[in-house]
Amino acid sequence: MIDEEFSEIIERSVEGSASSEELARLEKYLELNSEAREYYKRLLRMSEIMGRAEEADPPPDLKANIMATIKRQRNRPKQHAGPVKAFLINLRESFNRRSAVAFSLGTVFGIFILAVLVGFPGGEYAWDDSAVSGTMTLNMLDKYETIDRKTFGPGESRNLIEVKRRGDIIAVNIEIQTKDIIRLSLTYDATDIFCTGIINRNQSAPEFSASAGRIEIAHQGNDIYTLIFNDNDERSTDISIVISTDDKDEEIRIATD
Amino acid sequence: MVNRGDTILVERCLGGDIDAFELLVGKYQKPIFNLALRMLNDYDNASDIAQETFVKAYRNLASFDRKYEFFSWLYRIAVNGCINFSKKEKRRRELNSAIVAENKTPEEIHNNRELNRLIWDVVSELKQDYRVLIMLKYYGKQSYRQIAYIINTPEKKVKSRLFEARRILHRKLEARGVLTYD
Repeated sequence: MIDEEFSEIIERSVEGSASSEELARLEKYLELNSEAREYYKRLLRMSEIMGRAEEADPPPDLKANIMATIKRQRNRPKQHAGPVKAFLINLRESFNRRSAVAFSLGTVFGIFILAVLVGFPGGEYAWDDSAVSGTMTLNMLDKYETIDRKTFGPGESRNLIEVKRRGDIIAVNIEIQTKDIIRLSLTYDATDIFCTGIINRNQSAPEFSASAGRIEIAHQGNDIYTLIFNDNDERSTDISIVISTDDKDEEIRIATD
Repeated sequence: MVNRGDTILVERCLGGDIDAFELLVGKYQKPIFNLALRMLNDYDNASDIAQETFVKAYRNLASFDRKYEFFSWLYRIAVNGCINFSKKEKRRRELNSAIVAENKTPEEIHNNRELNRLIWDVVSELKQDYRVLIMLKYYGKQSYRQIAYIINTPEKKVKSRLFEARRILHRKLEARGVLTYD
């Protein structure tokens, strides 16, 4: 059994960052503990061997390609666009083949969730089972796990934020009922998740603006928003939502996994 | 301790100085490429991921958290890129198709090129989770705290997983005759 403290000193010693006081203590410890002695010897040998492995050279044109891509994106003429168009341009710039697939999937799932949540267009369906045989199942929502659910605003409010998840797709549903203008500012770690689409059911003409890691929505009236995110590594961090009215700000953190 | 030189270059980039970013690319392209190469075992894919990492870093530079090293942040983007890529790639080409024969003479084993190849062969046999830890620890020279940030895993778990990764690596290196004790 190796004491945790000495296990760390052993590592620092192998890396060459242990203090002289630590080295003196370690020496005494190693004299008394054969297991620690063995561990120290192994680490030292492995560190030495691994240090002899040479790294491969990257392709000679890697740097040039990176800089060319960045300059091409920078030099693209700026378009004077409204917030929604700016958001779409931002989305297009974030796209590659892989994210395009994720975006398509995200959008399809988002529309489906919204449809199931709020009902399909065209009102209620009447189900006539007289001429049906067999079984039909439409149960997509069960495949989405509810991760977090919070209300916000005044006590009687029906304002709700809900996070659902399936694999690497995260759907954030925000239901707002307000007479006043309300501003929603969502911030998230853009290296963990990226937004692939926003849907607002009532199309109440909100103002959107979006940049990497931040989405702003200015809203008035009743609406339900569904924001679809794709998770890069299925270990995403929280999303922070600041809800601002004229007289106060309220911050809500919602978990995404 | 945060690398002041990198922080200054990042500030210059944010001020619109693209040459400053070129310096960062020059400085870190090799370790990022090597991380991707060892995680994916494919030269072309590693090159794509390295390129994507820097482009993504440039685009999201404003969201870079200064309490971490710029290099750790780059690693985090690269690791996420590799994991994402691996999940979607069904077929993986081996970096070296030939597995090293067991009957090498001691002279051959200690030939530097052969040793190099043996070590990377053994590393490539590890599970991707372990491979990334070994790469970050031995080649990235990252601390436990930095690794925890890069792979988004608690520090304690990083320690125990790295311990296990080292144990397996050690056993494999010993079996290949790379690690010997006099």
